Amino acid sequence: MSWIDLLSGLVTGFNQFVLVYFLVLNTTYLLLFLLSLGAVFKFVRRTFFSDYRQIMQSEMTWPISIVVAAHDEEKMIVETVRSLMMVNYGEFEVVVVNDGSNDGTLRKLIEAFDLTRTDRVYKRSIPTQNVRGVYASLVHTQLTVLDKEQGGKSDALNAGINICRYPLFCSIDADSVIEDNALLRVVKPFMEHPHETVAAGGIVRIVNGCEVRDGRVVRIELPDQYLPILQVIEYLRAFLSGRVGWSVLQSLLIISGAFGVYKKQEVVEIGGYNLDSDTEDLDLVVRLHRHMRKKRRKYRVVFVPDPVCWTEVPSKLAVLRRQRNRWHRGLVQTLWNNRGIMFNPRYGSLGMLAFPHAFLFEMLGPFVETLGYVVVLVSFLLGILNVEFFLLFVAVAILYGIFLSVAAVLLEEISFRRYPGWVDLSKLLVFSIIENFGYRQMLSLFKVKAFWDVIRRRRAWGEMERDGFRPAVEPSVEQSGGR
Amino acid sequence: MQRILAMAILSLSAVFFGLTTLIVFGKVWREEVQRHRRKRRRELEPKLLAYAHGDAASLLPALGGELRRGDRAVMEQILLDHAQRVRGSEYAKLSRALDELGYVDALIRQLKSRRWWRRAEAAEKLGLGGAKRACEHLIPAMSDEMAEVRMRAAKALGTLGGTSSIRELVHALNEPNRWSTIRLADILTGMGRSVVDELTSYFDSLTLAGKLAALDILGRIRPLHTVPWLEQRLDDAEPDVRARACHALGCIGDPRTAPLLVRALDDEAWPVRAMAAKALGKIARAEAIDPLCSAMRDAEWWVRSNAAHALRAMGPRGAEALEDVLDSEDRFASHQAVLMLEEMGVIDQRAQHLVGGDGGGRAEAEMFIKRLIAVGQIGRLRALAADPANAELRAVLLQLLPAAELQTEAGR
Amino acid sequence: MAAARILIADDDPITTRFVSSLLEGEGYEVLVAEDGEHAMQLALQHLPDLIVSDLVMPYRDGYEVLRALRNNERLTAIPVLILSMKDREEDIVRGLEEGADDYVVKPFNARELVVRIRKLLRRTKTRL
Repeated sequence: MSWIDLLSGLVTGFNQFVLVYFLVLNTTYLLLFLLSLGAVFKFVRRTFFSDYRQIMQSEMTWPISIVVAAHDEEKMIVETVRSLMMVNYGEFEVVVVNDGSNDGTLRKLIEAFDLTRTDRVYKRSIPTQNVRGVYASLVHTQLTVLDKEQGGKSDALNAGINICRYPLFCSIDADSVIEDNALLRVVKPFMEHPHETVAAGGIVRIVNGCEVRDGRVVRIELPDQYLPILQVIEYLRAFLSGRVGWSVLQSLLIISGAFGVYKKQEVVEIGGYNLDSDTEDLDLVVRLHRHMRKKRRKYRVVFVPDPVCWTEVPSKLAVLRRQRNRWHRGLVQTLWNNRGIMFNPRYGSLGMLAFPHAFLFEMLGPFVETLGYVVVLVSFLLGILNVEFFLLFVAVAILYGIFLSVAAVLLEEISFRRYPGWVDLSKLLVFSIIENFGYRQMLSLFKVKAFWDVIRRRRAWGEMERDGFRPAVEPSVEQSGGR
Repeated sequence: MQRILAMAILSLSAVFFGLTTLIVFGKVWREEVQRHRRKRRRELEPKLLAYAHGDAASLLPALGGELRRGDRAVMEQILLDHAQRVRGSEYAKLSRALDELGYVDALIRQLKSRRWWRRAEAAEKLGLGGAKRACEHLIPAMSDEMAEVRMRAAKALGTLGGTSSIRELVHALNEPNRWSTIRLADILTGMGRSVVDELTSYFDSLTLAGKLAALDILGRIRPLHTVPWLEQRLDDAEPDVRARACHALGCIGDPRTAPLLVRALDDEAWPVRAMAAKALGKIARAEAIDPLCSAMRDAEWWVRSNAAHALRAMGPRGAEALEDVLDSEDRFASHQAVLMLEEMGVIDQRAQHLVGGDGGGRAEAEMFIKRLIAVGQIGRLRALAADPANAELRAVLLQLLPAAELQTEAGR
Repeated sequence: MAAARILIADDDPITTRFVSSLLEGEGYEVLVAEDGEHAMQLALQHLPDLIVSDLVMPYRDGYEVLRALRNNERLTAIPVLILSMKDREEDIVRGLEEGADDYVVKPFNARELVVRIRKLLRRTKTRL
């Protein structure tokens, strides 16, 4: 048998594997979509004349501490804090953690809100970098500002959690804009199942192209540039068509750090945010799951499709690449650090569904896809390309993907309809096609590289440790946008 | 193989186009309906408003004798939109129009729909529209299997009022869903004093969550005559009940309850102690001062904090008590005391005495400042010492404050 | 005598339509603003005899509008009636302290609103 025959045999085998793989992958997404469809349908039916006004004025709604970590945000911080303080909610406080800014962030806050140094006594439940001072204002009694030495976003959030005084805390990115009633809506799961709910998150939408005034999104429009529009489709798929479904299965792996509400007690019990993680929000939720399972307590981690957090996404390719690189590295790290959950029936649907899915499809998917293209190319060059396979591959990997993207747009149309215009709708449909014809493949390449980065870093880290070098925790300033 | 390929591509394309068509047609249809509705609304609404503001007994003449079938949905929307925003005679007129045009009957029939969201919608609309005769139909809806229906029926009953619904609503406090309990509690609170008797007499039949909600409601309505009954709740076996009873008593603010609250400060369950402290802060009686000072050394954070805030609320006498706590060995207690004194402005006041007062006052103020320094919480003093406005004060403070503390920005 | 001019500021179009038709039926001339900023524009432009304002509005809330009115010497004499859903003691007190002449809670009684408006207008007329 010539080596070309051997190669053909291998290629054929690989082809079949790839086809089956993608068929399964896209079918799981289809199932998730169907679950999400049902849930969104039910959700939309429930809100008629919403009585959120009533709940806001109710003194029995749980008070919340809003925690914002800020590093070198002097341009926007005052506006952000001001809009947070006007949020539509009964009793709440705003805790701003100045993570060792080198610019005038702290100064601007002190000036704008009449802050004075205070000797607030509080329990340091989670160890953090040094806190230099606590500031409060007699006029704005809800505001507390913590000034500390730089330690990165996770560290800053932990410090904020330490000082916040309410049983629930909401972590928000400094550059996000949350909608008026978002807090009320995201708190609802906690009110419905107060003992069980430990974390809840809302949907993250893309603010590029929208008009923002006074910390409020005044006009919603699709972005002008093609990269953000592609991300709009991607986020719709991920959130509306994905996370709703996972939430129904009660195996939600992540709640976006840009807008999430957690029970303070449980988060303190697991030691707060992980300083070593690139994606501290994913890591936190996974560890929460483990903790609650270990404690054998009935619990819920919920995604609510209604409350919206608007955030900016990268419009430049280089920034997008860095962002996705970080996200994928974080995913790999978290999967590895918590590998005991994989296929472990003790972890219920998390161990049997979400984790394997993340591993097999989110993590390995990019490899299989990239390898698929490489094999196609090599086969073509060697003249052994199976045209039928190629077309089938296109159908299963790409057309199926387009179908899922359009399904996500449909989901949006029957529920929230944030982009009501016809032009916007046609843009969305057109870009649904483009998303699968180049954008997703590009993301796969980023992810493959990210995986190699993780492997290399581990080895490098090991070497550096031997030399006594400790890499500093990078302050995640450039984190534009949530997950 | 080729057949499979062709089928795959064909089916996927079909689904894709099918979805797209669905989206597009759905959108077109929806927009058309909305446009039509807006148009009809612009024509019908002024007529309705004229009727509501005017003297006409019925809306029908303005509509030309009858309402077109195609307009029924729009008219219902307009009526309900306005009805929920007003009260009084105009509300009555809108409500009458709703009944006259047959909506109330239709909604009562809809309460029996097989689809839960239709039932919920009917319940909600009946509440908004103010049809009292719907009450008897709403009561069975409060036992509906879907929580959403139960809640809207409860809300409707609460709005439509009537003492017959109070019993149902209070019984519904046994609702397992906490979110619903909050809504029920709001509804009941909104009904005012008329619910109090039913709450106290039905109390023992409620679940724990229901009891807590009932106590919260009493705390918001604040009926004075329930104080003896609430005082009895302070002996309940459940700590949460005891705690909420304390809270409710604090909200009512009857000074005669102070002795019992002081006793509750020694309860074995910390939520009770915390609530007792909070309540004593609202009642502000001299006999509570010493017990509150002891409570500041409690093992539990919330008890300490509430006690400190309570003393703060007591004005000058509280300030005196807080000053005594400064010397306590319990660091948390002394820290809390400093914070309270700072918030009350006492530290600033005493600092001024350092430079402005007479010899005796100055000595006293110096003693005070030294005690603060001994506690270690000198943030406020440092801030004052850094203030360039009052040079004299700065000088004196800089002398008193340990030099080392000022140089370093070291944390605690 | 020209009919009194009333400016309504509220972001809820249903309320504005209701109050507009109510007041127009009583013979007043009505101007409508959907947010705080628009309200200030109209106030400066038309110098109404009375302003009925909501508290929670986009761009500039009711409190800011109140403050801006009281700080402007041309507008400070205009009586302001607050029509708002906020019904807690603190809200009412704050509204009145910030400069409102009256405070009506939503859902409101239409007859009562009309009488209060009439009273406020009468007072300012005698002042002039």
